[in-house]
Amino acid sequence: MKKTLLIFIIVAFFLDYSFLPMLQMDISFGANFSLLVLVVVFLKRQYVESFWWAVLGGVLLDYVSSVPLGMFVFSFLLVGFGLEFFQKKLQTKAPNSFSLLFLFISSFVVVETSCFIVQQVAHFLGIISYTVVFEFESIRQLLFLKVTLSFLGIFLFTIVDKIEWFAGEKSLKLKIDS
Amino acid sequence: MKTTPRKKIIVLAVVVLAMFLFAFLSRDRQQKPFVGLFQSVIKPFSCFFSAAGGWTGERVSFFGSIGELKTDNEKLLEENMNLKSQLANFQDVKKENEQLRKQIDLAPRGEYDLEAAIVIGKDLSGQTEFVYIDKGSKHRIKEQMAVIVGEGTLIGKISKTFPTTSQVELLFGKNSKVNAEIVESGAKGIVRGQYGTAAVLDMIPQTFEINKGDSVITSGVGNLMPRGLLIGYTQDPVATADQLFQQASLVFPVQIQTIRVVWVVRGAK
Repeated sequence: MKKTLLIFIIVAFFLDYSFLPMLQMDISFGANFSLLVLVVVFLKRQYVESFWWAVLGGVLLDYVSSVPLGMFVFSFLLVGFGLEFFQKKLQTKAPNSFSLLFLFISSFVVVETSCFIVQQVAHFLGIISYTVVFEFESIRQLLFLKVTLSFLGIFLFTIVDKIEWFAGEKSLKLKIDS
Repeated sequence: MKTTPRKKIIVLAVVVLAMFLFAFLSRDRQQKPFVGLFQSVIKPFSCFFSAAGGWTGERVSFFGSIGELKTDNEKLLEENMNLKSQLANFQDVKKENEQLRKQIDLAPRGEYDLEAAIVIGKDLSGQTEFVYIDKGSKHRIKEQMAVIVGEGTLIGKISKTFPTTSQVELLFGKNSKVNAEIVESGAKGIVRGQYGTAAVLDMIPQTFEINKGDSVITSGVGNLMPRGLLIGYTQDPVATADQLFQQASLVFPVQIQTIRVVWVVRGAK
């Protein structure tokens, strides 16, 4: 399972870094596929378990961004915190499609906002020289992309859910048979 | 192992603090440790995903444009008629162009020592101004070298080099500055990036006249930036707030964001 997760996170990183920017969309890209995978991990695992996956995903993205190390790691951990809080509120109830859509979109908002804040702090401390601005011209394209990816996230979550259920059933059968 | 929320918050705080301290105390604050090694490891995979992204992007834009084909076709037919009539005039323009090239030293592409490179990735910090290419210091690429497309259109310069890859700062980058000159008047100024989306030609003395559509080229002032690379065309000239200089926004001849193959100018042949 760890190996599968590792592959998923690495593939998501390359999709973010090399694949998505080549689709000729005139907008800036941040963490997209990486965040989708991590949100699913956070929803499926405990925060402590998911912690290092978030650090790994964040460090990979931080290495190919022009800001100091830590921006994406911080954002991902923040998302993890928020998701655990949400799960505690839900207690044992599994999230439905609407709440999942809300969670994915909120995660994107949290990451975008926290990246913005980290960059502002880094600028204030003199670590980066440029000032950061939101590009309002491309906001529609950005929204479209994030909502589309959120639906993709729901799909990914459902698939993982089904696989887990199937694996659980199989192990139960094996136990009964033996 | 049971972890209390208090412990989690402490872990999060320690990690964040460590990262900030690390970034703040490092000699080059933007340089990450082992970044060269990291870039070398990911390069082959980046090339693959970048090519796959380019291929997909072409298909997506093709299917997206099917609906516009009929109107585009009509437009093209009309344009073709106009172009045929203009063709005759261009023979004269060609001669004039050659004379102008000689006058302003607009170096033809053949005179440069070029290194072809593929864009393998883009900066993920929410900025659109940096791209990564698949050639680095092993290919004799140095910082500040010009990056061009086509027949000599400048799109940016090398901002960082790693052994097998390099980071390119695009012309509209917020920190991008290039010494420039207006071809028509000979006025010298600086092309500055703006908010990662556009660029302006700045610091043009009031004594010079700027017209809409004037060609802006590199002036050759600066270490590794050759003279005569086309930057763009002027638009909407205005006086600066202090009334000492003029500035004009620039229109780029190429759509910089969608470029996949570039040339690094290593110097003159």
